[in-house]
Amino acid sequence: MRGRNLLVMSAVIVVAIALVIAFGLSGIFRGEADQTPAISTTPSLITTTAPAAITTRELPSGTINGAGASFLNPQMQAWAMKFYELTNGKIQVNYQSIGSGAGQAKFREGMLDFAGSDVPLKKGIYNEFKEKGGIIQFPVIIGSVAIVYNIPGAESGRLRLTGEILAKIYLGEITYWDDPAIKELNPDIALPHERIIAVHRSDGSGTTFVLTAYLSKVSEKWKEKVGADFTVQWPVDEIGSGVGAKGNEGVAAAVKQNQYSIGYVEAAYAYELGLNVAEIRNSDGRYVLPTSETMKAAAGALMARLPKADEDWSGIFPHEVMDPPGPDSYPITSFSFVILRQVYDDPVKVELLREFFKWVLTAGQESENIVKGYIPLPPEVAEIGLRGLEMLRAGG
Amino acid sequence: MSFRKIKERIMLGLIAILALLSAVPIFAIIFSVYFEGMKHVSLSFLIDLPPPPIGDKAGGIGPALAGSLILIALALAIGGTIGFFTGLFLSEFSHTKLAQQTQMILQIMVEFPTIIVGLFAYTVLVLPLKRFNALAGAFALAIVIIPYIALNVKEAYKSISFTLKEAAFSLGLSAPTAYLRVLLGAAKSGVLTALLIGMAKAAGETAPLLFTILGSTFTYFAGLDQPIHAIPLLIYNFALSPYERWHQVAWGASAVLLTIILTIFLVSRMIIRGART
Repeated sequence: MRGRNLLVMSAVIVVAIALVIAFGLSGIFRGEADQTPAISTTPSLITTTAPAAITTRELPSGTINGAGASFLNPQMQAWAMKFYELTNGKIQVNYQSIGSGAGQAKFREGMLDFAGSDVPLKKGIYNEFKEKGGIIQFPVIIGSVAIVYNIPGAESGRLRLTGEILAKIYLGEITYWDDPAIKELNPDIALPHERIIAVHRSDGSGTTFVLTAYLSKVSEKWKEKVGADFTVQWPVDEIGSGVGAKGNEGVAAAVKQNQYSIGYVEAAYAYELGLNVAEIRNSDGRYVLPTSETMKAAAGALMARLPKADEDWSGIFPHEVMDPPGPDSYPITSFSFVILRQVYDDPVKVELLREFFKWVLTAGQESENIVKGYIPLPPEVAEIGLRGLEMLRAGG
Repeated sequence: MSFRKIKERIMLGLIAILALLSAVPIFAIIFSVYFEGMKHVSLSFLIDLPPPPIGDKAGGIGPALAGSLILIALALAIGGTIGFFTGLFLSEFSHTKLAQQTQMILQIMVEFPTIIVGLFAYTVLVLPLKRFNALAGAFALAIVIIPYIALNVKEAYKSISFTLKEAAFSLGLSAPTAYLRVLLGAAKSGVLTALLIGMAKAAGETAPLLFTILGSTFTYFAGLDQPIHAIPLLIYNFALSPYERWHQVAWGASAVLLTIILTIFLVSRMIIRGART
């Protein structure tokens, strides 16, 4: 009898919990319908301090959620913070660093309002979006991949490398630091007879995509054998000289900790963490470091070739833009992108996205809003995004 | 002293040293977290929005702290309820096949990689809603803590002497009244401890949240169907960045998280000690 009572009680409780959950869920779905934030009718809040662009009009209010490239994260947080202040907290831009690959995937599944990515959408995904109303993708900041190294005893000079040598190192064909090819470029550095430890990303990464695209452009063999992607099969791993590490920070740490190692990180990380950065030979035969001048020069050289925001960028990105011409161009320069849909169900979302990214591409590019290590876009490149934002629309 | 005695002493000494050594990492962690973290913690640190990566703005962990508290409460409400009744069932019906199998499954669940629980929550609660949301995070945390709570509640009810149970039922009470009114009093400290262990577990987990809550920079709480932040997630993100300012916030957040968890453990120790005397 006792047992039966308890069973009955358990059943009642299970049903009760199920009901609670069901009500809770239905509440959520109802909540979603009610929650559409209304475009605020209060007139401009900001009077003196903010730039005119956001003062003269009425402001929508609400949150937009984005995620993706970890490289973009610090700069995006700085922009989001500043914009939050400028709009008195009315527009909240929530950006989380989950990696370019994951950002694109979640955006595709419809869970994000925008994605941040170091590379544009691939052709197949672009076409898929095109059928569903279209896509807008545009550069928001210049980024470049720095080649970093750790050779004890060679601190006196700065290592010089070419794309071919870099490809051979990661192909496992050049395995010692005192290889004749490296020695020839660096007569002033005492290169030891030590094995080169080649550090690479273990996670799916836009940085890897950009680097392998560069290697594919400068080395036929790399293009055939490895190619370019968020992750690749590293030939250097097969000879036991490769080390995988997660994130820019992981690669930076691995290079710091392993003597005689080489690695690649976004330039902002290389400088922020005080790593040795190698000079790379550009297409004009000069050896250049990733600096704001060399990155701007590279971006300038690319300008004529860039597509429009609603077009497919995968044809030229990142492969074709690598190793651009010009005596001052840093060869592994790329952009970080923001990816939007053209059509959003919610008209307020459209307003919010337009307001924020318009600001990012104009006032956001001024030096006081740029985090150290990042390079603002030339105005002509920012124009691509501004044109793109005009295509944003609400619809269902 | 004989050779054997000396040998025994040496061995005992070695074992004592090894035992001490095993405790060293814990104290080293606590010390370093408080040493690095406490200098950044203040009242405004607990309330403010996180700072941008560079600049001199102090900033804080407001949304993450609020989010963590909400997630813990929700996880405890879901996981605590299910875990408690599962534990009660395991204890009082331990002879049934169902109870034995449930117990086996719970023991496996304790060892289950929590990242997979996060993926599961992502599939059932994030994908259908088309949005990262707080409920999915709480759901994932609840699944993680259910086995801990259930197995501890079971021990609590098991430890009640049979005569007391007999007495409770001989009063002619129905089973629910007997278990929840009379016997819960006897099992109280064990049940509370079980809930507290679950709470501490929920407070510290990162992996179940990675796929579920997204995180949030400005919003403290916007609804169960919206993204939310949590302290472990904030630490994970900020500690991996190259920026000194964010490292400091991550240290401060670690100190806050450790304080929460240590407090929970201290309270549960006190409850256990109170029950013994």
